[in-house]
Amino acid sequence: MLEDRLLIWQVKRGSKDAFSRIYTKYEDDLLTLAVNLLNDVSAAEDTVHDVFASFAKSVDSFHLTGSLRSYLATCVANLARDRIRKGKREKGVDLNRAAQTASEVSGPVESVLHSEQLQQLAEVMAQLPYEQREVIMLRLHGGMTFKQIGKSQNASINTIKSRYRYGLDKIRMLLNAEIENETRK
Amino acid sequence: MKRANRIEELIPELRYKAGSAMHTRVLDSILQIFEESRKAGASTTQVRPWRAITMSRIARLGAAVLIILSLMAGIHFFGTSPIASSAVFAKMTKSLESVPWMYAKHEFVRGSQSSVLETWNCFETGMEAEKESTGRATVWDYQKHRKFVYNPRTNTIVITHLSGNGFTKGSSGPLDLINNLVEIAKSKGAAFTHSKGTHEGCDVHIYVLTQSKGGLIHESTLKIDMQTYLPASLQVLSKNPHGQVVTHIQGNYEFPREGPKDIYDLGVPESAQIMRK
Repeated sequence: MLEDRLLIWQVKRGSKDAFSRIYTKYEDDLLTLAVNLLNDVSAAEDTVHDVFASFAKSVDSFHLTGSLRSYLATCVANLARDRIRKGKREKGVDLNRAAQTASEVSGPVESVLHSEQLQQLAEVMAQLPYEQREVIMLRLHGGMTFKQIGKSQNASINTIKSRYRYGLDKIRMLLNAEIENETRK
Repeated sequence: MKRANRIEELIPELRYKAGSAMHTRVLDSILQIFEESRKAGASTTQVRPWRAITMSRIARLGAAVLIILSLMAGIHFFGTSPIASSAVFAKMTKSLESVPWMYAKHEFVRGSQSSVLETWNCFETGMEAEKESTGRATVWDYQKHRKFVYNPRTNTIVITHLSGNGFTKGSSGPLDLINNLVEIAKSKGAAFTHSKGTHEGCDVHIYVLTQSKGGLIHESTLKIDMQTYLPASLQVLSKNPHGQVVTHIQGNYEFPREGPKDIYDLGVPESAQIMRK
């Protein structure tokens, strides 16, 4: 936290090195969030790029009130939501695309989903309604509280908790269904 | 089933890592945007246009920064309080030493009279400048050991030799100045409080120093940005024994990348006659 404040202070003074350090520090976290939200590696890269580009332009007037990680995660989520709303990327749930993303180990993004278990989970995550997926990702990857998520999405904390709970229930249901299918085989 | 029950533990393992090509591609691009943004910002960072304020000044305080530093000195002196204000002020002075320029705008109000004093300080280059609402402008160049004073009534610039290598009242920096002023603060009975609040949307430390002098009670409130440890604003209220405000000083602080290069940047006309002494 203190390190982030110092880095921002240096960035405000024009330090490219400090800006690079912030990017390097949060790059993988934000990319993970974006890939899981968008199910599209190219769109995820664009989103992370655009968030940092916007940050670069506005850093002079930027005031950190919480954690930088949460702030950037919220920016990624907002941009991802915009992309999806505009219909430029995700058009319904594309299981093939999700599976491709989950198993993609070459190209711009290196998957670290080495186990079959995680790959299955990634595929199941892609089937969740976007709002549920977003809450789960911000909570478990962005390290944000329900209150922070609610504020960023302009929704009540109860709504956010419900989305989180329903999302996890659905993941459990889908994974259990897969387990049963495997057992039958 | 067991697997499904520990989903919350598994999801954080659902991670992706940027390949080196993506890392380089994105980083190069955003650094370029960052640099262009800084250049664009620098080109628009200019000395503010001078406001035509015709009312007479009520006080000649020398460098306005003395107010804030006097307050700091007082707080420094009281820094042994449990709130550990000395640590905050140590960070503040360090921050002040590292900023390119400090710009301060102080507005003075006494009764129906008011006046504005603007100052620029650059500890790195040893330059100080101030402009009063009367149009009078002064530049101290401690590298060239010259002082330039513009008098709008005579339209003259008087250049004098500046003795000493010091900066701001003979001090080499803010911390040094504080130390110089500590002795003064010691001689004044004063009360000191600390709290936290916000200033223009930013979290700030709020320090209030109250002291009696000349039959008046002077209450100085300094706000320090919690993020940068730089001063954000200063308010000084001087009240008579009945609690009525006699004098009100409001100071606001900014930290631009550039300041005036010479006295002409302070709005002094090039037609002004130069006199060397």
